[in-house]
Amino acid sequence: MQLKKTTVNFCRSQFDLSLPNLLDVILGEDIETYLIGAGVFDVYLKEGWIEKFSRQTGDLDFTMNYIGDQSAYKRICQNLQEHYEYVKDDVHPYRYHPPKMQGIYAYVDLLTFTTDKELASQARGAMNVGEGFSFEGMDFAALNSLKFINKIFLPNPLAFIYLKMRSYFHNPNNRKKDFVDLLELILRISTQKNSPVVLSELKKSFTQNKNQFVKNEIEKLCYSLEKDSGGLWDLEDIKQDYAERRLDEEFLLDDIPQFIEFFRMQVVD
Amino acid sequence: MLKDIKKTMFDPAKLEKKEYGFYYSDEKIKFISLEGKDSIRDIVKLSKAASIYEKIGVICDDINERDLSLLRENKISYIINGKEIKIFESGSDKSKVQKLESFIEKMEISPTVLNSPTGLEIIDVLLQQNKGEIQKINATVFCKQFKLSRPKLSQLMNAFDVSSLEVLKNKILLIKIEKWLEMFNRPITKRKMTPFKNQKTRRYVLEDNFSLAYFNERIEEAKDLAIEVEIGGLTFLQNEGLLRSNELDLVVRADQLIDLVQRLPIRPAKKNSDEQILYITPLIGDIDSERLYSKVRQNEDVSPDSKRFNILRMAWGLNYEESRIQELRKDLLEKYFNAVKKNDS
Repeated sequence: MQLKKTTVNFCRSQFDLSLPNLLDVILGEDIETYLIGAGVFDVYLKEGWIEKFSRQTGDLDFTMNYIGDQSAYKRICQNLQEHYEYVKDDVHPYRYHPPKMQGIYAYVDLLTFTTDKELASQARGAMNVGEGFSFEGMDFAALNSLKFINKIFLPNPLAFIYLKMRSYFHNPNNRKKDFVDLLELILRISTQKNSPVVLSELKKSFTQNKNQFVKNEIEKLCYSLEKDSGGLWDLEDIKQDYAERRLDEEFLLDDIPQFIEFFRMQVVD
Repeated sequence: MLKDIKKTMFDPAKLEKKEYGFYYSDEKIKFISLEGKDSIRDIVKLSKAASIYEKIGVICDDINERDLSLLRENKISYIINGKEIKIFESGSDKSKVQKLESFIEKMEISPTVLNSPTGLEIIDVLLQQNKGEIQKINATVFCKQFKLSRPKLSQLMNAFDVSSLEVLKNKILLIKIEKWLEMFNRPITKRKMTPFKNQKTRRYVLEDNFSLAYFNERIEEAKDLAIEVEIGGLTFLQNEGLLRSNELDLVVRADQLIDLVQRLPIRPAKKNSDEQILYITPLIGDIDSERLYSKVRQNEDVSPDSKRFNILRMAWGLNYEESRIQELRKDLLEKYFNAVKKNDS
């Protein structure tokens, strides 16, 4: 699964417009970086995997692989401030505002992640966040990534769904938007004209044995939604958010089980 | 009530279904079915013109007092289904009158006696037999010959209180289309048969330019791969040239839904999709248990699908709410029964 050149060029121009020099600065360091957060939907949108997305994002989130040395991460943050007039946010220590507002992205969150449990607290320390900050799912995202430019990647839709699952799992009361996001992504990918092709590509993500655990988790999610069995993945909990995003105008809540079933049959089974 | 009447004077089993209505063999009266547009005055004229050779009567569901008086004045026998029968005897001014319970509606036959997979299968085979054939054969041989359920046939014969296939056929032909449709819609009939649309029906979009012929080919291909799948009522109507629609349907064994979904170029349909829709209904049992196919070949001038399928079963499954489909369902039954009557005459 690869991104089209036109997708990369278009998205890059949008990123550069709102957040000038950001990508150049990141690319200037030899560090594995992932675009995460709702900005990923913009790439999927341009690629034609989804027709639209109900939630507009105003920021970009990049997370960098911490492998025991925070100097590259620190240099990127410093460089943006010193040479390109980015301003560090007063409240969020990982957030940087560009010199002027233009385009669709107002700021960037520069984060770190690690797949090594022993380095987790150091990775959190690099961006000055507490223990509550989770890196779960990033190992799967790293294995199932799409190349954007050089060492900048983004998770494929399956990996992104899993990231959203983990985020909601850890904080269901405050992260309802992650549940709605992952649900909307499944609904949109499944109903898009090219869905059989895209879903069959995604299925290949599960061919690696390392992904068996994630496959099981996604399968459980699907069955739970299909059977409307409540628990963590209770549609009742997101009914209001679902309606506020006007998703019910396109996808009836009662039809969700059949959309999910289709997704499961194409990707998991 | 029906049995009492039968013993005393009127035996509805003696009413033989004809194109014009019914022939009552005991009194040799042709009872003409009175449709809404016919006038009693026309019947009176016809009766007078025909009286030298044959007796004419009227059979209807309801009649106003003025028309009833006209019939009585002209000594025309009549049957008002569910209310009264009056038969004027030949060569005398005498007449027999009695109150009449509806000979079909009040029989209290459970809808599932007729409307079950094996019930509709037997009725279909029975109706396709002409008078000569049916007189020669007894129930056991009939079931053996067509591999039909003997216990079910016994149930049908008991329910209709008949001892021969011929009388059973005649009685079944007395059932009006409206009554069939009413029985079709009874939820109890869904216990052993799956309608083409139910709560478990999935709604998909077929990829663009997916022609009916190509769709049929793909279904046949799936069957070759041992997928138990068959077209549904909407597709049947389109194959028959009776319907033009951007909706197709099929049924598939539930555990093989995945095989079909992975083979067909489909995706789930959004709420207001105006693309080509495919309804897929999973079957709980296997496809044989649904008894979709007819066990006899019909007239040569009908299309292949008509030959393949039991039309009664297909019509039963056509439970789409759209009025156009409901009308076609009725037409399908009318055509089916008319063909049976045509064969008989």
